[in-house]
Amino acid sequence: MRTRASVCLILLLVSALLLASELLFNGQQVYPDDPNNVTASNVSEFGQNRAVAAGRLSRDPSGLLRIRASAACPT
Amino acid sequence: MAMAEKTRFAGFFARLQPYRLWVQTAFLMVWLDPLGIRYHGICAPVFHCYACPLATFGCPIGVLANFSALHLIPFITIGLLIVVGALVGSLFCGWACPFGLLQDLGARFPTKKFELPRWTGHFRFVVLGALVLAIPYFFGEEHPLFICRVCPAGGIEAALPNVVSQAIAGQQIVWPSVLKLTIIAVFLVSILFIRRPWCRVLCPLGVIFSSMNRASAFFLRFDREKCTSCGRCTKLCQYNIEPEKSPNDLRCIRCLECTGCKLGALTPDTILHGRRKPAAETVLPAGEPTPGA
Repeated sequence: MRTRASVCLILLLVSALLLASELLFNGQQVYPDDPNNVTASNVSEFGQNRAVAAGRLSRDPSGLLRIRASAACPT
Repeated sequence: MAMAEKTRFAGFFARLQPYRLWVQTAFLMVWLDPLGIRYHGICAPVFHCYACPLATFGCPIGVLANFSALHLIPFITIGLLIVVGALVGSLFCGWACPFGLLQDLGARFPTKKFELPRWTGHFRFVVLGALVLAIPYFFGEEHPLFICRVCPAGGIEAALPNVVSQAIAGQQIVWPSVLKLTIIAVFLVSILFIRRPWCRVLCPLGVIFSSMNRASAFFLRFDREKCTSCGRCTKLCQYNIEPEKSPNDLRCIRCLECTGCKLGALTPDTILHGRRKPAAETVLPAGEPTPGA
């Protein structure tokens, strides 16, 4: 029982660290689809999740994260 | 007092057990956007495609795969999965997952059910490691084996409803690929003959949660002293697990059917309840009056 409680506590601490990490990193710089537009927005993980759910987040060949104008859902 | 609480806790699940299908249905109402509000920024700890026209929350497996393809780390999603796994293990699989509900409904058809070899459960690690993490990371989301392209949940919850909504709206219908339609057909046939085939053989979310079954705060307690080795729990378990040998097994979805043991040898419990001897088993010294006598 004590082992189970210890491992459970460690897992909860790890998850707390992960959740805190997101606050620490504070999102990603995401660019619009237009390659000439160099104005990036700082998008939190929640925002990235929404963009992923809409099939709109992609990474261009130069490695920049971009919000696609049209959705591309693999389903 | 602690013993009374423990009994209450086990009794709560015992009373709820006959209504498990209704509990799953109630959770379905949560996942299917009852208020018309989308929270796709947050993942639900269940297998429900966020491309579903009615999905309330995001799909954690879809997020893991897409973030892997984008070479990003989804800290909040991983954190959420570990929190849920550490607290209740795979309890959500058995009681809340809409894809599990669909399979449970399929299993109700009066068809002959086939058993799967136990080793097939290890395919779930392959799906998680290869289709969710490695293939997206190295080949991107365009790869034909990217999880969302072969996911039957995506096909049933998103692709087919989208075809229907396009037909109703009079738009041009975009049919799913032949591969996707084949996967949907195979899945729908298989749930009639095998209990929870996806959960037991392929589900990458289930393997994340069930990996924490042995460490989770909520767990199944096996009391060896009460067990008479009658084999009832093994018969009650529909997933080919022997609960008396491994009550918190890696393949367990925590449907808690095995807790129907009449002797109370298997009970749901939490780490908050210390292991204490039941009051009835306390041996009193000879000649001492029994309480209440």
